[in-house]
Amino acid sequence: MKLEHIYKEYNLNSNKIIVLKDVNIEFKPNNFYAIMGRSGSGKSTLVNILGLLDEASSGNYYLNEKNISSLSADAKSDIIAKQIGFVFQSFYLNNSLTALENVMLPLYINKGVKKEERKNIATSMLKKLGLSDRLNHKPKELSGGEQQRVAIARALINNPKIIIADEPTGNLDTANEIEIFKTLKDISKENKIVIVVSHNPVVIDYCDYLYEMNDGILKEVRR
Amino acid sequence: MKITDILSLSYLNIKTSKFKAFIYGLILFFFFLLLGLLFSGSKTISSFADRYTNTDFHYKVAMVDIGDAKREDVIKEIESLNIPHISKIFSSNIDIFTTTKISNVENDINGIVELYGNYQGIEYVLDSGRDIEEAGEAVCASSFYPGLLSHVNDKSEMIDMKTKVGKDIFIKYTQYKSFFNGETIDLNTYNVPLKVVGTFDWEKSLTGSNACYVAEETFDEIIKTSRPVYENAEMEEDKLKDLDILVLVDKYENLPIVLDELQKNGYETSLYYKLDLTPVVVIEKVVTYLSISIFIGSVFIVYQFIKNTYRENVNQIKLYKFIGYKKKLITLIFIVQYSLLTFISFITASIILPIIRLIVSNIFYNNPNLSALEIKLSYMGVNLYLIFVTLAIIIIFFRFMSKKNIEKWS
Repeated sequence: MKLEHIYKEYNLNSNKIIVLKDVNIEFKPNNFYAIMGRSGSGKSTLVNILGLLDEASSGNYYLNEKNISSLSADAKSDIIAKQIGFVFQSFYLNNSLTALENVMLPLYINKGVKKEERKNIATSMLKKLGLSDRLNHKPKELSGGEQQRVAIARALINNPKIIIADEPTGNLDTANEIEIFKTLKDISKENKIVIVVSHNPVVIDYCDYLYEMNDGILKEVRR
Repeated sequence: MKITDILSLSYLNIKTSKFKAFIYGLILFFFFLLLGLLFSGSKTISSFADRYTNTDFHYKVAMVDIGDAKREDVIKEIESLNIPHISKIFSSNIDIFTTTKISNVENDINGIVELYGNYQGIEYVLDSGRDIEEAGEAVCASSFYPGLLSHVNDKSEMIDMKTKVGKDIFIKYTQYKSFFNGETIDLNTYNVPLKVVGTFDWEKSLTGSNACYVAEETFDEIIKTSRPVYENAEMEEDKLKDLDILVLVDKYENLPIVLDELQKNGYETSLYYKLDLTPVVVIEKVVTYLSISIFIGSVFIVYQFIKNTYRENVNQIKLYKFIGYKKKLITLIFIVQYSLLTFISFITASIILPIIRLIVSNIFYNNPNLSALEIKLSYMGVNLYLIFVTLAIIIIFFRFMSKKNIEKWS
């Protein structure tokens, strides 16, 4: 997974705002990448481009050595469904559904999984993340850390190669922060690329690569 | 993705916004029911009016003023015109029906009956036995009220005439002679046996309970022999001078054609019974306007619900995007969600409509003034509304799922 000369510009009241300036980065499996930076530095824009939720103004995005910079919306959705899992600060869980039902949602579009297998796969994933006794609980009945683990289970359910986490510990206490970073670190060792955008310094202790985003410029800080 | 999966996801969406879904379903159910009732009411009234105009033969009778001409000459002239749709020409209104006494061997039938000829254009709804095939046969109202009042609708005292099918009844009448000085003397008393071959539903046929139709030739003979005999021809002419000739038409809708033909041939005509269909027209107009209002109002309501759904479900839509659902699929899930709710409302209303019909029919049946009104059920409005709302849902969702909106949510 590689970004080459990525620029992102917005027009705001006829002023051109450059959010990302010549971003070049390569991600490799089995690694945990942390991108830190102040609010407004361009981290979230980068995450959106990496997650195919937004398009760069210029530059190239390679995935599996294919340039996917200007694919159709449907083709991008296909890539997201198969290869990318998202984890967000606000969890994005459906409060009316149980943990199990939330985790099962991505399986509906996985043609390789039969209907009768969905429940078992989702149950196994939740058990793996230590939520075996929370399967039928709704998000409001879970702690923040548990909710985020449900979100991680959902991100992992279709076995994607890339996990993108945007401020995954933003709503958690210290104990849960550590737990989540540990989990993400473990996930990265399963031949996956884990990209975490955060301004939580705890992430430094867990990441393999540390990058800093400053005014749209991405700089490697530590390898 | 399989349709069962789409349905499951739509169901999960409904679960997510249970209260909204309930309110939406309730409103749509109310509209479905209202449209069902409006169209059924309109159909009931129209069909009643249609039945009324054709079953009550008085509405199919044209009156012809004979002026100074001789009655027999005018009848012959009209017959010679061979105007289509005329089924019978009566010399005057005293020939159109007659009232006689009625009895039977068992002596449980004793009272008064109205007799009508079974001419073409006379319609009744047979509910047992068969139709009249030859002279001397009669088809009578399925209920008979014994006594001197023929039009009492107290059902508890009525005799079931269906039990008399295949048996004989006797009609008794007296022909009398009338003199200038006002005196009358009885000339002949007739006791005519008639075989009851069938009965008709007198409520649906819009007659009273005590009525019988007899074969055409039998009726003509009864009229001939029951007509008073006057002292002389001048007296007869004097008695009948103000009475018009009556022309019975086969169908109500053919009445204007016959009237037109008669007028073209120089006859002054009028209607025996004038029918005012204004209430039917007004009801039909009200139904049309209300239906149009419901249809237009529904688009607004559906639009508002969908708009609110989007506002409240932006996170859900974003989530679908994050997990790789395509735009088409997300749209489809929401369309199925709302179509499912619409369909549930449709089914519920469709089940409740016949129940309401049954209740109203029972109330009407037990009310003598309304028992002739047969409640009809019409699903046309309900079906049209289902198609209309489903199309509205599809159009509105596609509008909301425009690229611009999707980008806004992302």
